[in-house]
Amino acid sequence: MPDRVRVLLLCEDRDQENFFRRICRRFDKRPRVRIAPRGIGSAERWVRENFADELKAQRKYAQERVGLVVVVDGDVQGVAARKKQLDDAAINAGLQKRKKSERVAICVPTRNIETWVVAICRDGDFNETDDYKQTVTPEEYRKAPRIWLGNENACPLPSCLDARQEFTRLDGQRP
Amino acid sequence: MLTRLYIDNFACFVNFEFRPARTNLLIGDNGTGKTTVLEVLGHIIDLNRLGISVETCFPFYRRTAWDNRDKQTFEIEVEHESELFKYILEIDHAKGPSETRTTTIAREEVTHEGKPLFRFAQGRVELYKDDYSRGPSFEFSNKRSFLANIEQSSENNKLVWFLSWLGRIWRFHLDPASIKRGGVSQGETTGISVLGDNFSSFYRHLMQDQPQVTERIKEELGSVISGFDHMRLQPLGDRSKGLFVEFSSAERTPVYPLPFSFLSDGQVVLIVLYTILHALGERSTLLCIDEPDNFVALREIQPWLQRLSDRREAQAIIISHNPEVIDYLAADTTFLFTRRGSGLTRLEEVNFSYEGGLKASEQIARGLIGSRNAG
Repeated sequence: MPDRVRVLLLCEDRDQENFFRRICRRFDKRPRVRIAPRGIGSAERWVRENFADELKAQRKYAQERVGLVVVVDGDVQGVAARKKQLDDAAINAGLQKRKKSERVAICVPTRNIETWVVAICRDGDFNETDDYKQTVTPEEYRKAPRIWLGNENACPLPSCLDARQEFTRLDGQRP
Repeated sequence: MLTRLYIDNFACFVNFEFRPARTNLLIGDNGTGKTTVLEVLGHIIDLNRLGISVETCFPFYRRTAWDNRDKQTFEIEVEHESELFKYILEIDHAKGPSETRTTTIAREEVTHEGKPLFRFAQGRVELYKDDYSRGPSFEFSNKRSFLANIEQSSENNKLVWFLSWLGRIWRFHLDPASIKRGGVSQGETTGISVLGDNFSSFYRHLMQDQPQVTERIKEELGSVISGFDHMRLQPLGDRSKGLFVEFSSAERTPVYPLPFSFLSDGQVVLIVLYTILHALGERSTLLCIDEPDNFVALREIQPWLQRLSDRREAQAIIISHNPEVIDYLAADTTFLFTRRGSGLTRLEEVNFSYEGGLKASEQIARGLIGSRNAG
Protein backbone atom coordinates (compact mmCIF):
# COMPACT_ATOMS: atom_id res chain seq x y z
CA MET A 1 0.00 0.00 0.00
CA PRO A 2 1.47 3.39 -0.91
CA ASP A 3 2.14 6.00 1.77
CA ARG A 4 -0.99 7.75 2.91
CA VAL A 5 -1.64 11.34 1.92
CA ARG A 6 -1.22 13.91 4.68
CA VAL A 7 -4.27 16.12 4.49
CA LEU A 8 -4.76 19.76 5.41
CA LEU A 9 -8.42 20.71 5.62
CA LEU A 10 -9.14 24.41 5.10
CA CYS A 11 -12.74 25.27 5.93
CA GLU A 12 -15.18 27.94 7.06
CA ASP A 13 -16.72 26.65 10.27
CA ARG A 14 -17.09 23.80 12.76
CA ASP A 15 -20.03 22.17 10.96
CA GLN A 16 -18.03 21.87 7.74
CA GLU A 17 -15.04 20.64 9.71
CA ASN A 18 -16.97 17.94 11.53
CA PHE A 19 -18.29 16.59 8.22
CA PHE A 20 -15.18 16.81 6.08
CA ARG A 21 -12.68 15.79 8.75
CA ARG A 22 -14.38 12.41 8.89
CA ILE A 23 -14.17 12.11 5.11
CA CYS A 24 -10.51 13.14 5.16
CA ARG A 25 -9.76 10.33 7.63
CA ARG A 26 -10.18 7.95 4.70
CA PHE A 27 -6.93 9.41 3.38
CA ASP A 28 -5.17 10.52 6.57
CA LYS A 29 -6.03 9.18 10.04
CA ARG A 30 -5.05 12.52 11.54
CA PRO A 31 -5.93 15.30 9.12
CA ARG A 32 -4.86 18.76 10.14
CA VAL A 33 -7.46 21.52 10.20
CA ARG A 34 -7.36 25.24 9.59
CA ILE A 35 -10.67 26.86 10.31
CA ALA A 36 -11.91 30.45 10.14
CA PRO A 37 -12.20 32.23 13.50
CA ARG A 38 -15.76 32.88 14.58
CA GLY A 39 -17.19 36.35 14.15
CA ILE A 40 -14.88 37.58 11.41
CA GLY A 41 -17.68 38.33 8.97
CA SER A 42 -17.22 36.37 5.77
CA ALA A 43 -15.64 33.00 6.52
CA GLU A 44 -15.73 32.24 2.79
CA ARG A 45 -13.44 35.20 2.22
CA TRP A 46 -11.12 33.95 4.97
CA VAL A 47 -10.83 30.58 3.23
CA ARG A 48 -10.23 32.26 -0.13
CA GLU A 49 -7.53 34.52 1.30
CA ASN A 50 -5.76 31.62 2.99
CA PHE A 51 -6.13 29.34 -0.03
CA ALA A 52 -3.20 30.91 -1.90
CA ASP A 53 -0.82 30.38 1.03
CA GLU A 54 -1.89 26.78 1.43
CA LEU A 55 -1.63 26.15 -2.32
CA LYS A 56 1.92 27.50 -2.23
CA ALA A 57 2.77 25.21 0.70
CA GLN A 58 1.14 22.26 -1.03
CA ARG A 59 3.32 22.80 -4.09
CA LYS A 60 6.48 23.19 -2.03
CA TYR A 61 5.89 19.89 -0.22
CA ALA A 62 4.13 18.03 -3.05
CA GLN A 63 6.72 15.22 -3.00
CA GLU A 64 5.80 14.59 0.67
CA ARG A 65 2.35 13.41 -0.47
CA VAL A 66 0.54 16.29 1.17
CA GLY A 67 -3.02 16.98 0.11
CA LEU A 68 -5.19 20.05 0.46
CA VAL A 69 -8.95 19.91 0.90
CA VAL A 70 -10.70 23.28 0.64
CA VAL A 71 -14.34 23.70 1.66
CA VAL A 72 -16.54 26.71 1.00
CA ASP A 73 -20.32 26.83 0.96
CA GLY A 74 -21.78 27.51 -2.49
CA ASP A 75 -24.49 29.77 -1.02
CA VAL A 76 -26.28 31.41 -3.97
CA GLN A 77 -23.10 31.48 -6.06
CA GLY A 78 -22.76 27.77 -6.74
CA VAL A 79 -19.89 25.40 -7.41
CA ALA A 80 -18.39 26.83 -10.61
CA ALA A 81 -18.37 30.41 -9.32
CA ARG A 82 -16.72 29.41 -6.03
CA LYS A 83 -14.03 27.43 -7.82
CA LYS A 84 -13.36 30.36 -10.14
CA GLN A 85 -13.05 32.69 -7.14
CA LEU A 86 -10.40 30.39 -5.68
CA ASP A 87 -8.57 30.22 -9.02
CA ASP A 88 -8.62 34.01 -9.14
CA ALA A 89 -7.30 34.18 -5.57
CA ALA A 90 -4.32 32.04 -6.62
CA ILE A 91 -3.66 34.14 -9.70
CA ASN A 92 -3.94 37.37 -7.69
CA ALA A 93 -1.30 35.98 -5.34
CA GLY A 94 1.04 35.44 -8.25
CA LEU A 95 0.47 31.68 -8.46
CA GLN A 96 -0.72 29.48 -11.27
CA LYS A 97 -4.26 28.29 -10.79
CA ARG A 98 -4.88 24.78 -9.52
CA LYS A 99 -3.84 22.00 -11.92
CA LYS A 100 -5.64 18.71 -12.38
CA SER A 101 -2.53 16.80 -11.39
CA GLU A 102 -2.30 18.47 -7.97
CA ARG A 103 -3.60 16.88 -4.77
CA VAL A 104 -5.96 19.77 -4.17
CA ALA A 105 -9.68 19.07 -3.76
CA ILE A 106 -12.20 21.90 -3.69
CA CYS A 107 -15.56 20.95 -2.20
CA VAL A 108 -18.47 23.37 -2.48
CA PRO A 109 -21.53 22.15 -0.54
CA THR A 110 -24.45 24.03 -2.07
CA ARG A 111 -26.38 25.70 -0.74
CA ASN A 112 -24.41 24.83 2.36
CA ILE A 113 -23.24 21.80 4.34
CA GLU A 114 -26.66 21.52 5.98
CA THR A 115 -28.20 20.95 2.54
CA TRP A 116 -26.04 17.87 2.20
CA VAL A 117 -26.79 16.72 5.75
CA VAL A 118 -30.56 16.77 5.22
CA ALA A 119 -30.26 15.20 1.75
CA ILE A 120 -28.13 12.41 3.23
CA CYS A 121 -30.16 11.77 6.37
CA ARG A 122 -33.76 12.32 5.31
CA ASP A 123 -36.14 10.90 2.75
CA GLY A 124 -37.55 13.33 0.22
CA ASP A 125 -36.41 15.76 -2.43
CA PHE A 126 -34.02 18.52 -1.51
CA ASN A 127 -32.54 21.23 -3.66
CA GLU A 128 -29.46 23.46 -3.56
CA THR A 129 -31.49 26.66 -3.40
CA ASP A 130 -33.52 26.34 -0.21
CA ASP A 131 -31.78 26.86 3.13
CA TYR A 132 -32.22 23.99 5.63
CA LYS A 133 -29.64 25.30 8.10
CA GLN A 134 -31.98 25.83 11.04
CA THR A 135 -33.58 22.39 10.79
CA VAL A 136 -30.57 20.10 11.20
CA THR A 137 -30.28 18.11 14.44
CA PRO A 138 -27.01 17.20 16.21
CA GLU A 139 -27.74 13.54 15.50
CA GLU A 140 -28.02 14.25 11.75
CA TYR A 141 -24.74 16.19 11.80
CA ARG A 142 -23.11 13.21 13.48
CA LYS A 143 -24.35 10.44 11.24
CA ALA A 144 -24.24 12.21 7.85
CA PRO A 145 -20.52 11.68 7.07
CA ARG A 146 -20.76 7.99 7.98
CA ILE A 147 -23.69 7.49 5.61
CA TRP A 148 -21.96 9.53 2.89
CA LEU A 149 -18.85 7.36 3.17
CA GLY A 150 -20.85 4.14 3.11
CA ASN A 151 -23.12 4.91 0.20
CA GLU A 152 -22.03 6.58 -3.04
CA ASN A 153 -25.64 7.42 -3.81
CA ALA A 154 -26.37 8.90 -0.40
CA CYS A 155 -26.62 12.44 -1.74
CA PRO A 156 -27.51 12.98 -5.40
CA LEU A 157 -27.12 16.77 -5.29
CA PRO A 158 -24.76 18.05 -8.05
CA SER A 159 -22.41 19.77 -5.60
CA CYS A 160 -22.09 16.54 -3.65
CA LEU A 161 -21.31 14.46 -6.72
CA ASP A 162 -18.76 17.06 -7.73
CA ALA A 163 -17.09 16.79 -4.31
CA ARG A 164 -16.79 13.01 -4.63
CA GLN A 165 -14.99 13.54 -7.92
CA GLU A 166 -12.77 16.21 -6.34
CA PHE A 167 -11.56 13.75 -3.69
CA THR A 168 -10.12 11.49 -6.41
CA ARG A 169 -7.46 14.18 -6.83
CA LEU A 170 -5.94 13.21 -3.49
CA ASP A 171 -4.87 9.69 -4.42
CA GLY A 172 -7.02 8.56 -7.33
CA GLN A 173 -9.60 6.98 -4.97
CA ARG A 174 -13.16 8.01 -4.30
CA PRO A 175 -13.86 8.18 -0.56
CA MET B 1 -26.12 23.33 29.33
CA LEU B 2 -24.64 25.93 31.67
CA THR B 3 -25.99 29.24 30.39
CA ARG B 4 -24.97 31.60 33.17
CA LEU B 5 -22.56 31.81 36.08
CA TYR B 6 -22.79 34.84 38.35
CA ILE B 7 -20.18 35.65 41.00
CA ASP B 8 -20.21 38.60 43.37
CA ASN B 9 -17.52 39.36 45.97
CA PHE B 10 -15.17 36.44 45.37
CA ALA B 11 -11.47 36.99 44.53
CA CYS B 12 -11.36 39.35 41.52
CA PHE B 13 -15.06 38.97 40.70
CA VAL B 14 -17.56 41.66 41.60
CA ASN B 15 -20.98 41.51 39.97
CA PHE B 16 -19.40 39.23 37.38
CA GLU B 17 -21.48 37.39 34.80
CA PHE B 18 -20.32 34.65 32.43
CA ARG B 19 -22.71 33.32 29.78
CA PRO B 20 -20.96 30.38 28.16
CA ALA B 21 -21.83 28.80 24.81
CA ARG B 22 -21.39 25.14 23.84
CA THR B 23 -17.62 25.19 23.32
CA ASN B 24 -15.76 28.02 25.02
CA LEU B 25 -12.18 29.20 24.89
CA LEU B 26 -11.09 31.45 27.77
CA ILE B 27 -8.14 33.69 27.04
CA GLY B 28 -6.47 36.60 28.81
CA ASP B 29 -3.31 37.66 30.58
CA ASN B 30 -2.05 35.80 33.63
CA GLY B 31 -3.94 36.67 36.80
CA THR B 32 -7.15 37.80 35.10
CA GLY B 33 -9.33 35.14 36.74
CA LYS B 34 -9.77 32.42 34.11
CA THR B 35 -8.79 29.58 36.42
CA THR B 36 -10.69 31.15 39.31
CA VAL B 37 -13.96 30.92 37.38
CA LEU B 38 -13.53 27.17 37.13
CA GLU B 39 -12.50 27.04 40.81
CA VAL B 40 -15.81 28.61 41.80
CA LEU B 41 -17.71 25.87 39.99
CA GLY B 42 -15.58 23.32 41.84
CA HIS B 43 -16.28 24.92 45.22
CA ILE B 44 -20.03 24.95 44.59
CA ILE B 45 -19.92 21.26 43.73
CA ASP B 46 -17.80 20.53 46.82
CA LEU B 47 -20.44 22.29 48.91
CA ASN B 48 -23.66 20.86 47.55
CA ARG B 49 -22.60 17.48 46.17
CA LEU B 50 -19.79 16.40 48.49
CA GLY B 51 -21.20 18.04 51.63
CA ILE B 52 -18.00 19.92 52.50
CA SER B 53 -18.51 22.79 54.94
CA VAL B 54 -19.17 26.27 53.56
CA GLU B 55 -16.24 27.63 55.59
CA THR B 56 -13.87 25.23 53.81
CA CYS B 57 -15.30 25.85 50.35
CA PHE B 58 -15.62 29.62 50.65
CA PRO B 59 -13.32 30.92 53.44
CA PHE B 60 -13.83 34.61 54.22
CA TYR B 61 -10.36 35.56 52.92
CA ARG B 62 -11.47 34.65 49.38
CA ARG B 63 -13.82 37.63 49.38
CA THR B 64 -12.78 40.39 47.02
CA ALA B 65 -9.84 42.09 48.75
CA TRP B 66 -11.09 45.66 48.44
CA ASP B 67 -14.75 44.87 49.07
CA ASN B 68 -15.96 45.22 52.68
CA ARG B 69 -19.27 43.48 52.21
CA ASP B 70 -19.84 40.37 54.30
CA LYS B 71 -22.13 38.80 51.71
CA GLN B 72 -21.02 36.71 48.73
CA THR B 73 -23.42 35.60 45.98
CA PHE B 74 -23.13 32.81 43.43
CA GLU B 75 -25.71 31.86 40.82
CA ILE B 76 -25.82 29.09 38.24
CA GLU B 77 -28.34 28.77 35.41
CA VAL B 78 -28.71 25.57 33.45
CA GLU B 79 -30.92 25.13 30.42
CA HIS B 80 -32.33 21.68 29.75
CA GLU B 81 -34.86 20.99 26.98
CA SER B 82 -35.69 24.71 26.86
CA GLU B 83 -36.41 24.78 30.61
CA LEU B 84 -34.37 26.81 33.07
CA PHE B 85 -32.93 25.56 36.35
CA LYS B 86 -31.46 28.21 38.63
CA TYR B 87 -29.27 27.82 41.69
CA ILE B 88 -28.62 30.68 44.13
CA LEU B 89 -26.13 30.62 46.98
CA GLU B 90 -25.63 33.50 49.40
CA ILE B 91 -22.89 33.26 51.97
CA ASP B 92 -22.52 35.47 55.01
CA HIS B 93 -19.11 36.14 56.60
CA ALA B 94 -20.37 38.17 59.55
CA LYS B 95 -17.97 39.43 62.19
CA GLY B 96 -18.71 38.20 65.67
CA PRO B 97 -18.25 40.14 68.91
CA SER B 98 -14.61 39.02 69.18
CA GLU B 99 -13.85 40.14 65.62
CA THR B 100 -13.76 36.51 64.45
CA ARG B 101 -15.60 35.69 61.23
CA THR B 102 -18.41 33.18 61.07
CA THR B 103 -19.09 31.79 57.60
CA THR B 104 -22.64 30.56 57.06
CA ILE B 105 -25.08 29.85 54.27
CA ALA B 106 -27.57 32.73 54.37
CA ARG B 107 -29.66 31.49 51.48
CA GLU B 108 -29.61 28.56 49.09
CA GLU B 109 -32.24 27.91 46.44
CA VAL B 110 -32.94 25.75 43.43
CA THR B 111 -35.76 26.77 41.12
CA HIS B 112 -37.17 25.34 37.91
CA GLU B 113 -38.83 27.78 35.53
CA GLY B 114 -38.91 30.26 38.40
CA LYS B 115 -40.75 27.90 40.75
CA PRO B 116 -39.15 26.44 43.90
CA LEU B 117 -37.62 22.98 44.19
CA PHE B 118 -35.47 23.68 47.26
CA ARG B 119 -35.09 26.56 49.70
CA PHE B 120 -32.84 27.15 52.65
CA ALA B 121 -32.90 30.34 54.73
CA GLN B 122 -32.59 31.24 58.43
CA GLY B 123 -31.59 27.71 59.34
CA ARG B 124 -34.63 26.11 57.77
CA VAL B 125 -34.89 23.75 54.78
CA GLU B 126 -38.04 23.73 52.66
CA LEU B 127 -38.37 20.93 50.15
CA TYR B 128 -40.79 21.07 47.22
CA LYS B 129 -42.21 18.34 45.01
CA ASP B 130 -41.96 18.13 41.23
CA ASP B 131 -45.32 19.94 40.97
CA TYR B 132 -43.83 22.71 43.21
CA SER B 133 -46.18 21.95 46.09
CA ARG B 134 -44.66 22.07 49.56
CA GLY B 135 -42.89 19.02 50.92
CA PRO B 136 -41.16 18.56 54.26
CA SER B 137 -39.72 21.55 56.13
CA PHE B 138 -37.20 21.27 58.99
CA GLU B 139 -34.27 22.94 60.72
CA PHE B 140 -30.75 22.31 59.42
CA SER B 141 -27.25 23.62 60.03
CA ASN B 142 -26.22 26.74 58.10
CA LYS B 143 -22.63 25.45 57.92
CA ARG B 144 -23.34 22.88 55.22
CA SER B 145 -25.65 22.46 52.26
CA PHE B 146 -28.56 20.09 52.79
CA LEU B 147 -28.52 19.46 49.03
CA ALA B 148 -25.66 16.99 49.61
CA ASN B 149 -28.14 14.84 51.57
CA ILE B 150 -30.91 14.77 48.97
CA GLU B 151 -31.97 11.28 47.95
CA GLN B 152 -34.13 10.45 44.97
CA SER B 153 -37.80 9.83 45.52
CA SER B 154 -40.79 9.67 43.21
CA GLU B 155 -41.55 13.34 43.93
CA ASN B 156 -38.23 15.15 43.50
CA ASN B 157 -37.04 14.12 40.02
CA LYS B 158 -36.41 17.70 38.90
CA LEU B 159 -34.21 18.56 41.87
CA VAL B 160 -32.32 15.28 41.58
CA TRP B 161 -31.80 15.87 37.85
CA PHE B 162 -30.27 19.27 38.55
CA LEU B 163 -27.98 17.93 41.28
CA SER B 164 -26.92 15.07 39.04
CA TRP B 165 -26.14 17.61 36.31
CA LEU B 166 -23.92 19.52 38.72
CA GLY B 167 -22.23 16.32 39.82
CA ARG B 168 -21.20 15.53 36.26
CA ILE B 169 -19.18 18.71 35.79
CA TRP B 170 -15.54 17.68 35.48
CA ARG B 171 -12.70 20.14 36.05
CA PHE B 172 -9.03 19.49 35.35
CA HIS B 173 -5.74 21.27 35.72
CA LEU B 174 -3.46 18.32 35.02
CA ASP B 175 -0.07 18.17 36.68
CA PRO B 176 2.30 15.44 35.42
CA ALA B 177 4.28 15.26 38.68
CA SER B 178 1.08 14.64 40.64
CA ILE B 179 -0.18 12.14 38.06
CA LYS B 180 3.05 10.16 38.31
CA ARG B 181 3.04 10.25 42.11
CA GLY B 182 -0.39 8.62 41.91
CA GLY B 183 0.98 5.73 39.82
CA VAL B 184 0.22 3.26 42.62
CA SER B 185 -3.43 2.61 43.39
CA GLN B 186 -4.76 1.68 46.82
CA GLY B 187 -8.32 1.18 45.62
CA GLU B 188 -10.85 2.34 43.05
CA THR B 189 -12.26 5.82 42.46
CA THR B 190 -15.07 6.73 40.08
CA GLY B 191 -13.64 10.05 38.89
CA ILE B 192 -10.35 11.73 38.08
CA SER B 193 -9.20 14.49 40.44
CA VAL B 194 -8.43 18.03 39.26
CA LEU B 195 -4.66 17.40 39.16
CA GLY B 196 -5.02 13.80 37.95
CA ASP B 197 -3.21 12.43 41.00
CA ASN B 198 -5.64 9.52 41.44
CA PHE B 199 -5.37 8.36 37.85
CA SER B 200 -4.23 4.80 38.57
CA SER B 201 -7.16 4.32 40.98
CA PHE B 202 -9.57 5.60 38.35
CA TYR B 203 -8.05 3.33 35.72
CA ARG B 204 -8.43 0.43 38.17
CA HIS B 205 -12.12 1.28 38.45
CA LEU B 206 -12.45 1.47 34.66
CA MET B 207 -10.87 -1.95 34.18
CA GLN B 208 -13.39 -3.44 36.58
CA ASP B 209 -16.42 -1.46 35.58
CA GLN B 210 -16.02 -0.55 31.89
CA PRO B 211 -13.44 -2.81 30.23
CA GLN B 212 -14.80 -1.81 26.81
CA VAL B 213 -13.74 1.78 27.52
CA THR B 214 -10.20 0.69 28.38
CA GLU B 215 -10.10 -1.07 25.00
CA ARG B 216 -11.05 2.17 23.23
CA ILE B 217 -8.40 4.07 25.20
CA LYS B 218 -5.80 1.46 24.29
CA GLU B 219 -6.69 1.70 20.61
CA GLU B 220 -6.57 5.48 20.59
CA LEU B 221 -3.32 5.78 22.54
CA GLY B 222 -1.70 3.25 20.21
CA SER B 223 -1.91 5.83 17.44
CA VAL B 224 -0.95 8.76 19.68
CA ILE B 225 2.07 7.54 21.67
CA SER B 226 4.82 5.83 19.73
CA GLY B 227 5.25 2.21 20.82
CA PHE B 228 2.29 2.28 23.25
CA ASP B 229 0.71 -1.14 23.52
CA HIS B 230 -1.50 -1.17 26.60
CA MET B 231 -1.76 -0.28 30.31
CA ARG B 232 -2.06 -2.81 33.10
CA LEU B 233 -2.20 -2.85 36.89
CA GLN B 234 0.23 -5.13 38.68
CA PRO B 235 -0.40 -6.25 42.28
CA LEU B 236 2.24 -4.89 44.66
CA GLY B 237 0.99 -6.48 47.87
CA ASP B 238 -2.01 -5.83 50.13
CA ARG B 239 -4.53 -3.90 48.10
CA SER B 240 -2.05 -1.74 46.22
CA LYS B 241 -1.47 -2.06 42.49
CA GLY B 242 1.07 -0.29 40.33
CA LEU B 243 0.14 1.10 36.93
CA PHE B 244 2.45 -0.02 34.13
CA VAL B 245 2.50 0.83 30.44
CA GLU B 246 3.58 -1.90 28.05
CA PHE B 247 5.63 -0.63 25.13
CA SER B 248 6.84 -2.34 22.01
CA SER B 249 9.92 -1.29 20.11
CA ALA B 250 11.68 -2.24 16.91
CA GLU B 251 14.69 -3.36 18.96
CA ARG B 252 12.91 -5.60 21.41
CA THR B 253 9.97 -7.95 21.26
CA PRO B 254 7.65 -8.77 22.84
CA VAL B 255 6.37 -5.75 24.72
CA TYR B 256 8.17 -4.49 27.80
CA PRO B 257 6.62 -2.76 30.85
CA LEU B 258 7.47 0.67 32.21
CA PRO B 259 6.13 1.95 35.53
CA PHE B 260 3.80 4.88 34.94
CA SER B 261 6.19 7.19 36.80
CA PHE B 262 8.93 6.44 34.22
CA LEU B 263 6.93 7.99 31.39
CA SER B 264 7.58 11.53 30.18
CA ASP B 265 5.42 14.40 31.42
CA GLY B 266 3.86 14.76 27.98
CA GLN B 267 3.08 11.05 27.74
CA VAL B 268 1.24 10.90 31.08
CA VAL B 269 -0.76 14.03 30.25
CA LEU B 270 -1.77 12.56 26.87
CA ILE B 271 -2.85 9.32 28.54
CA VAL B 272 -5.01 11.20 31.03
CA LEU B 273 -6.44 13.57 28.39
CA TYR B 274 -7.60 10.73 26.14
CA THR B 275 -8.90 8.80 29.14
CA ILE B 276 -10.94 11.85 30.14
CA LEU B 277 -12.57 11.97 26.69
CA HIS B 278 -13.29 8.27 26.47
CA ALA B 279 -14.22 7.55 30.07
CA LEU B 280 -15.85 10.79 31.24
CA GLY B 281 -16.66 12.52 27.97
CA GLU B 282 -19.89 10.69 27.31
CA ARG B 283 -21.31 11.15 30.78
CA SER B 284 -20.02 14.63 31.57
CA THR B 285 -22.32 17.63 31.39
CA LEU B 286 -19.54 20.19 31.34
CA LEU B 287 -15.85 19.50 30.80
CA CYS B 288 -13.54 22.25 32.07
CA ILE B 289 -9.86 21.87 31.24
CA ASP B 290 -7.22 24.37 32.22
CA GLU B 291 -4.34 24.42 29.72
CA PRO B 292 -4.68 20.91 28.28
CA ASP B 293 -1.76 21.72 25.97
CA ASN B 294 0.79 21.89 28.79
CA PHE B 295 3.64 19.39 28.21
CA VAL B 296 1.98 18.01 25.07
CA ALA B 297 3.92 17.90 21.78
CA LEU B 298 2.75 20.42 19.18
CA ARG B 299 1.52 17.77 16.74
CA GLU B 300 -0.57 16.06 19.42
CA ILE B 301 -2.63 19.05 20.50
CA GLN B 302 -5.00 19.41 17.56
CA PRO B 303 -5.90 15.70 17.26
CA TRP B 304 -7.05 15.76 20.89
CA LEU B 305 -9.04 18.97 20.30
CA GLN B 306 -10.67 17.33 17.29
CA ARG B 307 -11.77 14.44 19.50
CA LEU B 308 -13.18 16.98 21.95
CA SER B 309 -15.01 18.70 19.10
CA ASP B 310 -16.56 15.37 18.05
CA ARG B 311 -18.65 15.50 21.23
CA ARG B 312 -21.17 17.85 19.63
CA GLU B 313 -23.73 17.92 22.42
CA ALA B 314 -21.42 18.15 25.41
CA GLN B 315 -20.31 21.52 26.75
CA ALA B 316 -16.66 22.40 27.22
CA ILE B 317 -14.66 25.28 28.69
CA ILE B 318 -10.98 25.34 27.75
CA ILE B 319 -8.39 27.77 29.09
CA SER B 320 -5.29 28.21 27.00
CA HIS B 321 -2.44 30.49 26.00
CA ASN B 322 -1.25 28.11 23.29
CA PRO B 323 -1.49 29.34 19.66
CA GLU B 324 -2.33 25.85 18.46
CA VAL B 325 -5.34 25.67 20.78
CA ILE B 326 -6.38 29.26 20.18
CA ASP B 327 -6.35 29.03 16.38
CA TYR B 328 -8.41 25.85 16.43
CA LEU B 329 -10.94 26.90 19.08
CA ALA B 330 -11.28 30.45 17.74
CA ALA B 331 -13.91 28.91 15.45
CA ASP B 332 -16.08 28.49 18.57
CA THR B 333 -16.83 31.09 21.24
CA THR B 334 -13.88 32.96 22.73
CA PHE B 335 -14.04 35.01 25.94
CA LEU B 336 -11.37 37.52 26.88
CA PHE B 337 -10.64 38.13 30.59
CA THR B 338 -9.06 41.46 31.48
CA ARG B 339 -8.19 43.38 34.66
CA ARG B 340 -6.93 46.90 35.11
CA GLY B 341 -4.09 46.66 37.57
CA SER B 342 -5.24 44.25 40.24
CA GLY B 343 -8.84 45.43 40.00
CA LEU B 344 -11.92 43.46 39.14
CA THR B 345 -12.18 41.08 36.22
CA ARG B 346 -14.02 42.13 33.09
CA LEU B 347 -15.23 39.70 30.51
CA GLU B 348 -16.09 40.15 26.86
CA GLU B 349 -16.77 37.88 23.93
CA VAL B 350 -14.11 38.27 21.26
CA ASN B 351 -14.63 38.87 17.58
CA PHE B 352 -11.44 38.30 15.67
CA SER B 353 -10.57 40.31 12.60
CA TYR B 354 -9.01 38.99 9.44
CA GLU B 355 -7.82 42.27 8.02
CA GLY B 356 -4.05 42.00 7.74
CA GLY B 357 -4.12 38.22 7.62
CA LEU B 358 -3.10 37.67 11.24
CA LYS B 359 -4.05 34.43 12.93
CA ALA B 360 -6.24 34.69 16.02
CA SER B 361 -3.31 33.74 18.27
CA GLU B 362 -1.14 36.44 16.71
CA GLN B 363 -3.87 39.04 17.26
CA ILE B 364 -3.87 38.07 20.94
CA ALA B 365 -0.07 38.08 21.18
CA ARG B 366 0.05 41.59 19.72
CA GLY B 367 -2.67 42.84 22.06
CA LEU B 368 -4.99 43.69 19.19
CA ILE B 369 -8.21 42.25 20.55
CA GLY B 370 -10.66 43.44 23.17
CA SER B 371 -12.57 46.68 23.54
CA ARG B 372 -9.67 48.42 25.33
CA ASN B 373 -7.74 48.07 22.10
CA ALA B 374 -10.56 49.10 19.80
CA GLY B 375 -9.93 52.28 17.90
